[in-house]
Amino acid sequence: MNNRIKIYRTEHGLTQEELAVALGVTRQTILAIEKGKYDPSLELAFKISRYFGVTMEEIFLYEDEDRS
Amino acid sequence: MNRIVSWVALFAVAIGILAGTWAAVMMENLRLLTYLLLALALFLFWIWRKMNVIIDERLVLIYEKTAVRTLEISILILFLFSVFILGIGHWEDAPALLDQGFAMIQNILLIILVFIIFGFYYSRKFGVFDE
Repeated sequence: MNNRIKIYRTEHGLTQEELAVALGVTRQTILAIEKGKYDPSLELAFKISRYFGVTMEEIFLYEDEDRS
Repeated sequence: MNRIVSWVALFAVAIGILAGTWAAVMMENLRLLTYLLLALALFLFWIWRKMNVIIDERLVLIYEKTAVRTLEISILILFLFSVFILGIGHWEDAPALLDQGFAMIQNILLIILVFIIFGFYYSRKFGVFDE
């Protein structure tokens, strides 16, 4: 699953640390999500989308294996 | 309150390990000293865990996967080692080794039993079974 967290984060002028503190997770978790190494839970995904004031679909891009 | 109890426990364990190490050195008891060094390693691990203020979902996932993989590999290694001990005990006709091998197998079965009990518990907790 791809995501656009890094784009939204830089648009908001936030560092990974600042975003992590705001979401109550570690900086490493933000890094892992941005790199696509870790898929966040539904709860964290909601937190991220609400933090940036957008829908989840705008941040998380699910590419169906059949389509790709 | 929990925090106070936790720090008191931390302090008590630290004093215990230090006192034990001092006693082991005074008695020149190498085995006791080894155990205490292992206890010290566990103690440092505990402190490291306490210092990790944020335990988020990714860390929990890492701990869970690490715990399960450790359990699987430990059981496999223990099982193979106990079979090895039993084999040597059988072929070399050494009853003491056979006893130790069976004791190890019993411990492995106990761990598997606990694993199954926890498995049932979490299956119920996360609603796998129909009510």
